[in-house]
Amino acid sequence: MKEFQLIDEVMPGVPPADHARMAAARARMPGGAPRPRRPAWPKMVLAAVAVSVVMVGGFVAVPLLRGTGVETAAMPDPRAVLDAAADRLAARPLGTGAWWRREMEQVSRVKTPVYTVEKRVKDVLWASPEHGYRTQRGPIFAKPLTPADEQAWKKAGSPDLCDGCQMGKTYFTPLKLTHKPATELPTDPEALKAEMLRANTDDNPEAWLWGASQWLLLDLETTPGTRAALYRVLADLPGVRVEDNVTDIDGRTGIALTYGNAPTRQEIIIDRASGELLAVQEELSDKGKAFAAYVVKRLGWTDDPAPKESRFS
Amino acid sequence: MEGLVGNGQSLVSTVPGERDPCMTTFLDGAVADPERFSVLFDAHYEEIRRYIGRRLDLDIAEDLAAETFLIAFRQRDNFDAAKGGIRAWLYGIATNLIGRHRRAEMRRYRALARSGPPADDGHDQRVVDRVAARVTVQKLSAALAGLSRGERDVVLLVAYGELTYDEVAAALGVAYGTVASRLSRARTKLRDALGVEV
Repeated sequence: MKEFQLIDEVMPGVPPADHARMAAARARMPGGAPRPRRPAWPKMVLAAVAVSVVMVGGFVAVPLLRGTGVETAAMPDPRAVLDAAADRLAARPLGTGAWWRREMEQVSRVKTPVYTVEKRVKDVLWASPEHGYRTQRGPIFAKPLTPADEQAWKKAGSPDLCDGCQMGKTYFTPLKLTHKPATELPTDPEALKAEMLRANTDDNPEAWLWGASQWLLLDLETTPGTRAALYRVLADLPGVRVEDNVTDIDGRTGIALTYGNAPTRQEIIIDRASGELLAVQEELSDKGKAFAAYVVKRLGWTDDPAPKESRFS
Repeated sequence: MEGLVGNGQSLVSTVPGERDPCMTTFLDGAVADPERFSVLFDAHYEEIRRYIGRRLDLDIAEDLAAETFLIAFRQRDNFDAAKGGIRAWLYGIATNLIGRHRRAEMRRYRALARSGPPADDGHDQRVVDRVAARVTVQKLSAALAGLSRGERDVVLLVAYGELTYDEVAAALGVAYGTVASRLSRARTKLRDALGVEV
């Protein structure tokens, strides 16, 4: 028996962290100007979803300024590109299967004085209306980022790069949002925003919506319609910008919703052709190099069997 | 190892590894590096929040948990990995903040001593198990209120944070011997109040 275990066991526990509070707290962390209270430009909990999407073409022709006499535009308005992607996502079928699966890689780049190490952890979340949630996590690799980094690392005596190290991840659920199944969340942007704001506990609703959205995309079996509506809700927020030709950490280019300013910019990168999410990433470096990202490999309903229980390796 | 705790409404999982020596080394460097500070936040926010939340009401605890990391960031140049490590450092900052709300903490113990744990605590079974040893939340809360602030800090850092004596000493900035003597006094007081060894 550990010391004072009795106190630990008998005294009341603490309910799980609320995503919004956590996001707001994390938003106050460094990178932006130190703020005594609520931030106007928070940096949020990373969350990423991408799908095994084959990039088709890479550029989507979007009718612009129809009826104004302008036939074409060399550079489509990013918002129009996003709306077109959201339309296509919303038109996708719901999908079938016993389990909803989200498979992603959590990437972090860690700079030492002489070289940069990239660490990757695989994270698979399974959700089922009947069986609840299961998760599988395990390291993929930790290695020097570039050949030059590798040389510097070898020169430094090839120190342990911490293979097998785990990056922690916490899944958050704003409780009030889960009173109904995630698949029943609204597909209309206004209704969805109202539903989300109903659960808002922050006095900065914009920050809350941004933070909660990443969670809705990443850790909940939301429908394509809800996800498309979410893009539009975010795009309409005053602090969010829509930018085209944003590249994720794995080199995939898409249309992005961005929040915050360098060096703490967050990006939700969306495939232009399908509207599916490619990645959520956070740039923390003034050199514009992504520091951390969630890159999703697969997402959707499946007949594949889920593991019997959560596994960590 | 802790998996997902899913009851249909909450889905919370902290993945093991925070106390992995490898992970700790990884994080030591994060303290000095603003770009990596968020990694430290992700690894330790929940446990710091839980620690504070077990000593103060949750609304205060949420604020203080965030404040802990802000202070840690501002004081990151003072962090010395050789002195107790990151957890001790963060728990020390959190404990100092709790100290500013000592009256709130005492009110909380008195309320718990009067009416027991909140109905939605979800720990009925644990409490019932312990009732056999005649130790209830009510009695224990009263006993904790009877400790001095210094005694309570060391006891709860060990009980909730699972810090070693060395880490407690580093967290509070006191000598190892001070930690040991406070624990000894606290153990005597708790035993007298509860009628069992703790």
